[in-house]
Amino acid sequence: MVLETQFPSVGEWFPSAALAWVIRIGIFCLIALALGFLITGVRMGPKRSLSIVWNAIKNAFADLAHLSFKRIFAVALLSFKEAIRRKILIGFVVFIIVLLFAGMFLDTRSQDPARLYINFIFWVNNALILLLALFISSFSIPNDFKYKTIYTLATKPVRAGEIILGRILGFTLMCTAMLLVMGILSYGFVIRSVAHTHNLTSDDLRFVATTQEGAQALEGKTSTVKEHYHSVYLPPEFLKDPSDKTVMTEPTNGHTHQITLVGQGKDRQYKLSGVKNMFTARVPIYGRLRFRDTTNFDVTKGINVGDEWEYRSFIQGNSPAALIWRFNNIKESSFPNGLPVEMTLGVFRTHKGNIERGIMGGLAVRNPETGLMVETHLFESVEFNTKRLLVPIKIKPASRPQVIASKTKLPNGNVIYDIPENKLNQAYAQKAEFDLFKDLVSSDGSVEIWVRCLDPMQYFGAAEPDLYIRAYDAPFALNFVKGFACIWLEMFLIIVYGVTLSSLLSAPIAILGTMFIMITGVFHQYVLKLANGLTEGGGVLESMYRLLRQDNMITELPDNVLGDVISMSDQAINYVIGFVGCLSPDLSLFASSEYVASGFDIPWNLMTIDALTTLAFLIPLCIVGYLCMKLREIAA
Amino acid sequence: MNKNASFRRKIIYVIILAVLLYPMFLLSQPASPGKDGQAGSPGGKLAQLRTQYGLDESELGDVDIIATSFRLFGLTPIADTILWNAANNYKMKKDWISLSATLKQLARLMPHYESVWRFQGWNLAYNVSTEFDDYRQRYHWVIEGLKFLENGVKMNKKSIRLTWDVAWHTSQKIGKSDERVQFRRLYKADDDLHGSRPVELRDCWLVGKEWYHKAEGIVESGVPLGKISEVLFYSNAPMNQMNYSDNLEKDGRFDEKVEREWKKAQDEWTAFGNREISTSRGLIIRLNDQEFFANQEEQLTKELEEIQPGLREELTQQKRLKLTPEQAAAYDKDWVDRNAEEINLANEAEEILRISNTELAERMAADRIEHGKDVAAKLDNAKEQSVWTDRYRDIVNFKYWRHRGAFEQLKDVIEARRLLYEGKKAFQQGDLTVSKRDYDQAFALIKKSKDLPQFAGLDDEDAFQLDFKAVMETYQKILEQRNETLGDDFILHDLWEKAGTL
Amino acid sequence: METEVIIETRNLTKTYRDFWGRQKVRALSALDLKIYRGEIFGLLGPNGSGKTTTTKLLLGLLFPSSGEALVFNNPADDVAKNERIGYLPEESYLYKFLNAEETLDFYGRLFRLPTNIRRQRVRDLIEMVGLGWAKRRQLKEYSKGMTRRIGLAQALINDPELIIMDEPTTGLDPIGCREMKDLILELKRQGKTILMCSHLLADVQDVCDRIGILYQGELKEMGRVSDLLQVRDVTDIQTTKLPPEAEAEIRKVVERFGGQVKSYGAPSASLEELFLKVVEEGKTHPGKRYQANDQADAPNSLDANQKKEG
Repeated sequence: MVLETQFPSVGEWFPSAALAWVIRIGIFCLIALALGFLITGVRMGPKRSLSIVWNAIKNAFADLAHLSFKRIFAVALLSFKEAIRRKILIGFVVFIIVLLFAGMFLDTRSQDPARLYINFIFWVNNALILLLALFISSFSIPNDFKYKTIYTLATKPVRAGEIILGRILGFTLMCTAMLLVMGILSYGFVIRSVAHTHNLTSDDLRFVATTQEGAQALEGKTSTVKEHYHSVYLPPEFLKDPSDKTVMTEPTNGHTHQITLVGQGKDRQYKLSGVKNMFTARVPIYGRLRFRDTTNFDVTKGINVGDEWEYRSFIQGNSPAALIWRFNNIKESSFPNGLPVEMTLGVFRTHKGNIERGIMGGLAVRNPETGLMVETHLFESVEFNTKRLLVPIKIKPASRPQVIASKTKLPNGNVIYDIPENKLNQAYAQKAEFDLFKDLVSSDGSVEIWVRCLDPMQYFGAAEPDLYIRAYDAPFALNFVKGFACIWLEMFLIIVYGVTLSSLLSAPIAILGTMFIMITGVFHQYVLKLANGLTEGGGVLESMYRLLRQDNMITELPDNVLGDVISMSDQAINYVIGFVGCLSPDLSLFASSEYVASGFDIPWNLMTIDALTTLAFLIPLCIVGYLCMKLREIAA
Repeated sequence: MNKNASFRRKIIYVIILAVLLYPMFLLSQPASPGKDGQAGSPGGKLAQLRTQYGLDESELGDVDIIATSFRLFGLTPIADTILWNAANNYKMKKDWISLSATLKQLARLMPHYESVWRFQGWNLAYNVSTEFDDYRQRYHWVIEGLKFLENGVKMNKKSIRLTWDVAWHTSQKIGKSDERVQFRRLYKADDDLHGSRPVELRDCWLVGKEWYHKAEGIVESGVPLGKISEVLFYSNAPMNQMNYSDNLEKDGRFDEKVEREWKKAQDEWTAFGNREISTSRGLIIRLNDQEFFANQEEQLTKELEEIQPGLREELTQQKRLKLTPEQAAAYDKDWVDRNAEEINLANEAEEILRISNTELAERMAADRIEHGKDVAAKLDNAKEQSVWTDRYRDIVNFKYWRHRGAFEQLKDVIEARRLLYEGKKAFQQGDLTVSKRDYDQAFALIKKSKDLPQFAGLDDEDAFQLDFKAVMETYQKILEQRNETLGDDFILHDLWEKAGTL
Repeated sequence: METEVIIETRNLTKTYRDFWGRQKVRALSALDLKIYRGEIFGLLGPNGSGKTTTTKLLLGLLFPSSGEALVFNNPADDVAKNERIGYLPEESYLYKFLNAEETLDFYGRLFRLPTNIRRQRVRDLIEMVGLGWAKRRQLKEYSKGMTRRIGLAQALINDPELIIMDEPTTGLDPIGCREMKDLILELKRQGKTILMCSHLLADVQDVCDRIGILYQGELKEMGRVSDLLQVRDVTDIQTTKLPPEAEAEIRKVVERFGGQVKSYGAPSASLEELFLKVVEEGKTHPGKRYQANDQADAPNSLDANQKKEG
């Protein structure tokens, strides 16, 4: 799976995020106050507005003390009923219709239907539930004002904060219920759409010889269903004793089927199960990647072979160059059968070579403490496909083992070794067989995996997430639920924003405002880049200047007053953009459908960050909403 | 009373509506394909008009609801931009599955926009396929591109370009790529693609030829070729036949079928030569007729001179008087000795001294003028035809292929090819004696054949020389291994010399 | 008497400004008002005189431009006071998608009433306002009278000490009007304080203890009804039906004291009473129709007994 930005662990993320949060609260409070002055000042004149705002702040703490869950729940119940009775279930109907017509969108001949279907489902659910949440939450409070039901409400002892929180709670419950139902239907849809089986008859099979004396295997292929078929190989042991439950067809389009034999002789029938191994949720352990160049030095990046996308870097074949992943905390108890390694390497050929086979590579394991390196596998590369290798506990080396150190060149010219030369003991390499954990994993649980390319003039390429240790498989259904939980968090944010914005603005403006926030959230990284002046082509005015003059991005600004004015204004504008950027969360962290679709477990790490982010926005927004409600003249 | 009246009115309206429905049904019934041997219905009048003008999907199965609703709401440009950007993004990130899906969505959105089909079909077959290391994967993506284009053809039945693209890519990408041996093997075994097509006909050249004929059929039906070059267009199908025959031999077949196929190639090439081709000048030529017009030109030139002999020299003398001394001096100088200025002057002189045939005719005596003009006109025509036909021949290398078709038919040549094939195989297996013997025998047969009178000039053809050079590469390796060199007594020495100048 | 001041306004002013801060309308000018516990206070005035503005200021729905509004001796925008008040607006500002039961239940929850008390109150109030037959219907299907009644019910859900009513009888039919007035009197009897705004003078006269009259935002008159309306120079005597001979005698007695009999005869009952009687009879004797006859005395004439009951 492609992970372009590796997100940090919660521990690393928290301090800077907490700081950002405090700043954000400050900003939001400022905004709230400014709005407060604006609202009251216009109506009441500046002096009065001061006392009103001061009163409101004083009362805020009293109100906080009197916050009652019963009242919040009452408002929530009201909102729930409001949502239902406003017939938002029409959104639900739209969802069903979309599912029925899903066939139009989906490419049934795809080689990876699971991924396509899951991506599609997540996209549909996300879009629908966000739209739903947006509309429900943005109309409620403005309608209260429009139909003056707020008068009755305001004359009851319900606090402004309770109205806001109650509404948020009510809509969240409503949308959660809908999301739950949609989720269950989606899950069913995905499993059903992909479900199929094939036929296998004796006519499809023929006997082939095997390496064993006199034993014959059956080989052939299944019927074609959904525009694909599977090759089948039934080993002789299975033909004699068909109780083996692990015999499968060859994988095609990302799945296999289990084969069972029924009957004997002429009545023998072959039954295939439904789809297996299609829906997985791998839990990978990632390492840190570094490269070794042809001069035996460690570098951070490999060679660029001319790809526009710089995700992967490459190493030369038939040279000391290597891709090195370092893993920490590898415990013997977690891997009793060895290390299951999965890798998806990029391949670049400078000449066609033998096109009948892939490029040869070698995988070795190294102990970062002793420097012992043992080559465990020689493999043939398959580009764009994941290769699975198991590093066994008892290793017979594929080539002569070595004991080496990694060296890095510093900018000042010094060379540092990870193991000092005098500590390298060649005796370690003098064994016929090695034990994975005793010899190759260091005492603190670190191990390195080295991958080299063996064919001359060919290249292997990788990015850090391209090789990982498959720790175990989480249940797919749970992963699916986690994916939906991320959607839920986004939905919750929309509801909070919608309710907050609608406490001051009219419904259509609140909707637009929330949509603006969402868009800024999705492009958050870009907005931050823009605010820090790191985008190519400069800021707003600079780009506009260049566009109008049809210059390209590299032309300098003129060295006169105009140029200065543009630069300075751009700096000011960048501040404003940064300010606006603070208002929205980084929604790219919530996009988890690719994990589920590619069969990777969504890390709990990511989910924690998402949940904390949502919580971090909830509090300031409620404060803003509260102040807006309080400072509005309800009967005006 | 009122209620009754209004009720009655409503009933009348409903009846009128029902009556109107019938003609509407006739008009707008969609076409449906035939089922179980029954002929399909061509649909109502509107549907028939649509098919006639190739405007829209008329068959029920082809109507795309999502795309149509997009078009209704005017969202096509937005969706199109988003999808195209997404496609480029996926290509950059090498996410082939998503790319393929997105391209299909794009095509669905704008099924009549020819360039989309052409570009993306080409993109898949040529760019995406090369990203893969494994040749089987490459083949898969080439076929994806072809299937994509075929869908485009289905949607745009009157598009010459799309049909031609399918033909071209099928022929070139499978037949001429580096992996052609593997591709052709996979192509032959591809049951999904060919369906019921018999194995014998599963050759990329033959399938390509089928598609070329389809494209020609569209032109027959009245669709103009537009900017497509006519001579190239009609040369494709017979060329495919040539390549097919050639490939048969490369695959190791040297039986009567090969002879038959070469004959077929020659026949088709001749038929192509007889076709009327329009030129950019508006002139209609036939590629086969160049010799005829060249002959005619020769005869007519003689005839013209004989009408009034000496007239030309007379006129030339008169015109010389109009030259300035510098021009005359420059003109008289040998062209190798002229400097830049003199070249210009000489050119000017030539211009002044030029006497066209018509001019010559007009200066004849009164009683011969008619005859002269007649001959002059015919002569000019013949010259023009000759010149232009020659030019157009060069575009498709007409003479070479005409020779080749006849040449390869000869039993000796087929035998020579077989010997070369066996010889190469023997060399690869290390049997130098056998291979050299085979090569030598082959060369003897080639010499015998090419020296036949009808193949005069074949030697001079660049393509023939190139072909020979390729053969010589292996022969030279054989000699090297045997520590021999190529002597002056080499049987094809003259051909080797010519090839060496390439 | 030292009765507690429930509502007090001091110099209360409200000016509506337009968007640019300029003054648009001076809705209320320097209002000084005191309302005591247990009384029914009527705020009168023509449309646009500031009655509704006053109630909104007292409820905290508007901020005063200057001056103060105090309820239970606390500023009007103090939310805590809402526990003890009820508000019956002129239009029903209730959620149309709820039914009667749910509406009362919702507002009851806002007062944090214990569940059993809340449920009991909901039942009682629905009974009291006579909406038992429509309690499951959504409010959007209610007629005006029904919405007024449910509005009343929600105003009383918390058994408030102070009830503010805006035009309580406006738009009701005579029966509803009568019932509303009876209810108001009953509430007073329970010791509650009521502030009502109205421009229906007759209704105000019937129930209010004290009134204030607003005109163009200024308080023009205030005082006890009886005091204000008392006609000082006339004495009113009502007797049981006397024989015709008594008239001359009585006139003489009055003239002996220096007065003059201004009118003598059977008093008119109010149209309201006739109306109620007809409706009542319609309920008990359905099918009975009006019949024109020559009798001078209409069969439905009222006598004093009936008048008292009505």
